[in-house]
Amino acid sequence: MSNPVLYRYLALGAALFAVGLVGFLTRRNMIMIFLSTEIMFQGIAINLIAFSCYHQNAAGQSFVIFLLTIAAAEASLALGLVVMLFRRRETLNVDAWSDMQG
Amino acid sequence: MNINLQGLCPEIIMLSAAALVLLVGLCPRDGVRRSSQWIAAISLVLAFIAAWNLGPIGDGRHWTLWPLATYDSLLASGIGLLTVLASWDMPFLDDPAQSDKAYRGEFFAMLLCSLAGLSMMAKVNDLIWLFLALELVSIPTYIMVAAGRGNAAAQEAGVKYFFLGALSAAIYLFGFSYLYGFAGSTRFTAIAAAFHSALAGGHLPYVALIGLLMVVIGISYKIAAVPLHYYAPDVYQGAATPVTAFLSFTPKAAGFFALIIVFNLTGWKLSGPGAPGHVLPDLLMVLAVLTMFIGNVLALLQRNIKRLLAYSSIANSGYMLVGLAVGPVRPAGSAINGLSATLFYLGAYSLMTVGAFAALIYLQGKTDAAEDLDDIAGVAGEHPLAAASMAVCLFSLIGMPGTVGFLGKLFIIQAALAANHPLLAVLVVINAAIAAAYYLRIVAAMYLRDAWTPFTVRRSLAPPFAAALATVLVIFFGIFPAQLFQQSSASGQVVPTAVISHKPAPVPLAAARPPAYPQ
Repeated sequence: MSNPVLYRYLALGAALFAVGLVGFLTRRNMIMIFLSTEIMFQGIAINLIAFSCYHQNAAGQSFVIFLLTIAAAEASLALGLVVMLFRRRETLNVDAWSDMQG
Repeated sequence: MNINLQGLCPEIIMLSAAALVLLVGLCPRDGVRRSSQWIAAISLVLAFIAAWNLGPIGDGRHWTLWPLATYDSLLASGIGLLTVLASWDMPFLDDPAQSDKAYRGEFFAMLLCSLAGLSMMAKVNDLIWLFLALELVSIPTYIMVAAGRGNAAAQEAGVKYFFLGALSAAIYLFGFSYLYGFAGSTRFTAIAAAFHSALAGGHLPYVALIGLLMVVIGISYKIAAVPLHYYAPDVYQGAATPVTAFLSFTPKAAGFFALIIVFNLTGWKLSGPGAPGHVLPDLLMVLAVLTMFIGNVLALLQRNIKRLLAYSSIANSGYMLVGLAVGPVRPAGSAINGLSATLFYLGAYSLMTVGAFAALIYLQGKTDAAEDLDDIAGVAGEHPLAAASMAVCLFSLIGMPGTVGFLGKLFIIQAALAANHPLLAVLVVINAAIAAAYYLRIVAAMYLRDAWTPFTVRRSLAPPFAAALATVLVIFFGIFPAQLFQQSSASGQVVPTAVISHKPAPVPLAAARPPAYPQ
């Protein structure tokens, strides 16, 4: 596994994943937090496709199709949740949703 | 192409029932809607029978069927049935008057989908399948938490559970992508062969190590273990109590099966002096110890029973992680190994914790279940049977002899000692002693204190029946553990050889296929 082209794509995938992770931990708005996880998923997709091309089989690319489907299901769920929460408190700041502690 | 679907019988039954419940639960006629619990319960009984009758069949290509898969399906349908009984009143939870408009039968469809994912878990033989099974377990539980009851606490719990769940999914998927990159295939046989040759060569590439590490961290969320454990108390408290009972069993079992399957790919040869990648079993042990201590110590501070049981669930994950870290290596003369001890404990833990939650649901407190210690103070006088079943489940969680929880802890300690980890065994014993303090506080509140508030109990027969059934099983398996022990030890024994040596895997992949993509 010493292909410089592969490493570039892996670095891109890891960078996207890291950007998403930092966004997840620092953002306060729920929609931004959800978009951060989406960016993480895209980083994983880039990893999978890079490995798929490197190994010259299609397993990684079919994995990506399943990944996108599940990500879409989670996106619909996230939007449903966000609408539900906004109706109750008129804000999407996560700090407004921390009643339970300890 | 000869696909034998017989081995998927339990999952097919559960998913068809889920589809049926979705249809029936939305029917305009009220009498029809009310049949959804019955459909769910009957389908789980059928799935249990189907799982019981599964033999060692399978062509090894499309799915593998080993004792672990049978055990998994039995747990999913059996304990799943208990959770359905415990959540029998779920559609009326917010409305004690049982208004017909409030009836929500689709809850049971979500529950069945999640159980089907759990039952699928040990049958997968491909990373993509493993990912889909894990998500099939998780996504319905997000809906169950958020929509289970209409108050703000449930919605807060739902949003916390969902966002951290998406984060954990991203983390273990990152690990999966690296495992795929390491082996060049998503097939388990190919990945196992790649690990085998890498470990035989005495060198494990970083890509495999990082992949395994990310999988462990991501799945620690599902089992509520350190480092992703902190959501558990909030989510368990906020969710409707039947959903909490479900959460304490299904995602945790799914996570442990997934971890076993992933570590199985490495052939359990990571540990040992000088082995490449021994950092992972060491890490598992550290996580196990941290999980036990954090769960037990923080549980001491709780007054809310649901929060307390959440921390207890974290601590119990720690005990099971001890077994997993010890692994299936069985020294001569020992009847038990770490893996079968973990699997036994998983069955035992599910019984006792679901039993305890079912008793809480029966003893309906101010909200949907008895939540506060004051809610159940002195309950033994008016409802001796409910108090007794709660007490038996709690004594089992402590590990009193004569209950299944005692045997579970005993096996874990035995396995740790047999594999030459005396320190781990001592730490498990210390934690069991800490845990006794907070479980006994609940028992003391029920038996020694005077009643604080007038009690209300549910009229429905199902939750007390679930509590009674779980209690009887806790005692029965505590005295006659043979059946449960046989299942779990068979699953624990076959694991190291079945998948790995079953088939010499096709590597390298680049040579096997003509190049399909331009370089």
